[in-house]
Order: sequence, then C-alpha cells, then structure tokens
Amino acid sequence: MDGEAAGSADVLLRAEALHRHYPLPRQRLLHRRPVRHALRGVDLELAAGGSVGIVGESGSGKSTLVRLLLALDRADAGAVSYRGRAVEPGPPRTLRWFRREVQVVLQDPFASLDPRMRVADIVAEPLECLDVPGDHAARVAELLGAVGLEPGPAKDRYPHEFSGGQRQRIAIARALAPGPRVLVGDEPLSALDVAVRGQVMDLLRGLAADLGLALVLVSHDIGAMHRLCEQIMVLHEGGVVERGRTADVLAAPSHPYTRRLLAAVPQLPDREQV
Amino acid sequence: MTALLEIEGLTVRFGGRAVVDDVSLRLDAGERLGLIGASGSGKSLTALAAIGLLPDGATVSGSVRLAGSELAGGSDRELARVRGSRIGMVFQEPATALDPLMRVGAQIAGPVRRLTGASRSAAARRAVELAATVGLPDPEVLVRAYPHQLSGGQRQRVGIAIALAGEPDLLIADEPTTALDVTVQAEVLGLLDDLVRRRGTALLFISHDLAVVAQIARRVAVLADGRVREYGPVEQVLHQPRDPVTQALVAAARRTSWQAPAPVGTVGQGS
Repeated sequence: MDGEAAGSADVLLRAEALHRHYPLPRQRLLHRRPVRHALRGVDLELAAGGSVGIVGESGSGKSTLVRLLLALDRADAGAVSYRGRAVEPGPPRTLRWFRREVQVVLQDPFASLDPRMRVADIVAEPLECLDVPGDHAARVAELLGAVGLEPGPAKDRYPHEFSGGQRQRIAIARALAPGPRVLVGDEPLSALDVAVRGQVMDLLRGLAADLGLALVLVSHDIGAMHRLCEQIMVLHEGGVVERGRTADVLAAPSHPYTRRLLAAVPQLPDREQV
Repeated sequence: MTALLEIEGLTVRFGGRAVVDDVSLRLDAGERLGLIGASGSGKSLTALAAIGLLPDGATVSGSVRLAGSELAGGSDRELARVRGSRIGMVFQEPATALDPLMRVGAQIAGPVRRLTGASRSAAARRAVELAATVGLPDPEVLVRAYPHQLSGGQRQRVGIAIALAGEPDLLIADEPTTALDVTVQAEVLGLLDDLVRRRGTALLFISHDLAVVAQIARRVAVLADGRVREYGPVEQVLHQPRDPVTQALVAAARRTSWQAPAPVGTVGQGS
C-alpha cells in the first residue's frame, strides 16, 4: 500500500527526467526564438494499484506531463516506460498494447464524447480499435452497470440526452472498456457540479478499489487529491517542488509554493469560528 | 429604510417553463449577498433579469426595484443608463467578456466617458487610476496592452475596473473567480472584498462554490430549480441548513473539499 518506497517491485508507469520545451514566436529578427520550458526534469512512478495526484495551476506543466505519459507527445529528454517497456508516440498500431493498459478520462464530457454516436458504440469503440476479444455487447452492458448507469435504457441513447455527471460516467465506462490497469484523469471532476463531483469521486474510488486500478489524477482541486490520491506531487513552473504522501504534504507542506497554494484554497467556515 | 435592490416575485419563463420562479431578494446599501446554486438553478438568470439583460424569448414578471424605482419593464434606454452607472457587472470568463481587438485602457475609458461624461483625456487618466485601483501592475503601461497579453487574473481585474467605471452602488459578480487558478482566485476575492468595503458598494456574488461564497458574503440565498430554497446568514445556512436541497449542497461541499487542518490564512490579504 505504501508507495513511498521508490523503485519497489511492481511499478507500472514510470517517467524519468522528462524535459519538454516549446519554441515561442520570434520576438526580434536575427534573435534566437525564445523558449518556454514546460517541463524541467520531472520524475513519476506509479505502482500497481497506487494513486498519484499531480497538482498545479495553469502553466505548471501538468497538461504537458499528461501528454507525455499518454504517448501523445515526445519528450525532448527523459523517457516514459510502462512495466519497463518504452512508451513513445507512434502509429496507433504500435501503441495498442499501451492503450489497453493505460486509459484516460478528460475534463469536459461534453467535448470528449462524439455527439453523433450512441452510448453503446462510444463505449465499444476502444474494444474494437484495440482488438479486445470477447462479446462486446455484453462487455458494454457490464461497463455501463459498473459506472452506475442502467444499460438497457442508456445504451441506445446519445450523449446529449444525459446530464454532465452521467456523461462523465459514460467517459469512464469507455476508458475502462479494454480493462486497463492505469486510469489517467485530466481534471475529470472540474466541470461537474459539487453534488455530482462527490458522486463521481465515489465512483472512481470504488472502481479503483474493486478493479485494482492505479490512478493518475491531474487537477488543481486539492479536495479531489485529498480523497483520491495516496501520493501527491506539486508541479510549479515545470518542476516538482514537493512530493510525498498526500496526507503528509497537506498536513505539513514544506515548499513555500505549496504553502501558498494550500492557503489559497477556500475554506468552509468551521463551527468553532461561528 | 429603502432597500438598494429589492426583487419581488421575479419569474422568468422560456416558452412555458419557469426557469426563475417567484424569487424575492433584498440587498441593502453596502451589503453582500451570495447567490448559490448548481448549474441550471437559475442564479445567473436572476441576476440578468435584474438588469434587463435576459436573452430574447424570455418573459419576465414581478418587480425589480433599485433604490425604490422600478426597473422591471423599463425601456432598453432606461436600463442602459442604470447598467454601469448604478449597477456594475463582472462576468465569469474575462477572456470572452473583453474585446480582443481593443487595448484594455480604451475598454475601461469607454464606459467612463459614457457614464460620467468625462472628456477623452480625463477618461484615459481615469482608466489608469482604475487600473491601479484593481491592483494591475504598472498601470500606465498596462492600459496599452491587449487582453491576450494579460494573464487570466489580470484580465479579470480589467473586468472589475470596467464594472467600477461608473461608480456603481451595486456590483453583480457572476462566478467571477471560477475560471481562475486557486491562488489567483484568492487574490481576486481579496480585491473584491477590499473594494466593496472601501467604497461601500453592495455586492451580489453568484457562485456554485459554497466555500468561496462563505468568504465574501454575509448572507446567502440558495437557489434550486429557479426557486429560493433557503435564505439567511452564511453561518446559519452552512451549519443549520433546513432545506433538503441546502443540506445536500452543504454535505457535498464538505465531502468534496479539503479543509486545512489548522487555520491557514482565509481570503488573501492582498490589496
């Protein structure tokens, strides 16, 4: 359970010294193009069944990190591997093995589901694309049930017939379709109302526990980190300024940026303060 | 005492459906009221109805009085005079609320001229003052920038400067910090807090986030399905919610949020 022991036996996803910079538009003729360092040497280790939260604000590099972890972009230096096997962007065919193991849920369920596809087809799509054997219809029904939707009525409907929370459940069902061992959530709760956010949080927790899923959660939401992630890393200006057990970091942040971040989180007034 | 803003029996219909249903609210001069609800609860439409900015196709009934004079059913011309000069509005997404092709100084100076009759040069000077008031760095230089050259937090500060251009008695802020990073949110909340305190401006603060509302408002109204479900002091609503909708909202907020173990700073103390 304790993922603190780095390099321990069953590491699934590993990132080592990731660097990524983007050239910016030229400001002056005959001058070098300025460069933006989106990531400056970031390491990450995700154990089987573990959970790592990546917290940071805009410009911290968290989206770049997610793209690298999902083989959607190539690092300038450093490497991503899954169980020791190199993970690099390439033709879909060369990444099928990886996509069966690592799946993603994105922030906006209104944008991430094709409005012209029926729910059953949305959820079945990764099964087909990734050549997953078995009875796809049965698997779709099972998945919809697992995320708390009634398969019968849901499967023939279109995304617009569902609420935001239900759509995010559909996106989770799709991500789980190939039976991945790692789920990457890129702000999967941010677009949801607070009541729905709580339900989807519970769903993710339950699924992670039941299926032994490992979780990478990228978010600016400390509440979500607190609920869902054993480990946390704080990203600021492309570097990890602090990492550790979530409970420890939240209770006693050591880096000034982490302290500033936590102090800015709006607090519900305590009963004592009334 | 006459209320600054008094909304009575406000109902907004689209087609036959009431999206705001018999809402009554009262806001005294210098007071702060939070309007809380999930998406689709009618909180933004209540505010838009109050200033006559509802989209076409909406039918409105009920009464909206600003310092005793009726706004509901007023002509566009009358309402345009009230907007800006008596009521300032701050919107959620500063990137879309600002004109991308116009320097921010001109966007602040425009309403200054229109609302106060200032000369072009006086309005430009006032724009720099307002930029300084909302804590924008290097205001003389910054007024010449375009919105895309600013950060999200700076753009929202420009939005607040524009809302203040006509020296309004009431500021309506609709999810003004939802699109911002948490540290920037704390700064902007601190700014709003400070501005309304110093100027004695009343504030109607709309948000889905209980913790944010609790920091800035004294009283809150909880909306669901277009109706006011609960209305009272923040502490009472948070600690002894009576309505099931409020109870569920408070429980969800407590369950999903992170509470600092020891009292950390509340709203940023920034100027």
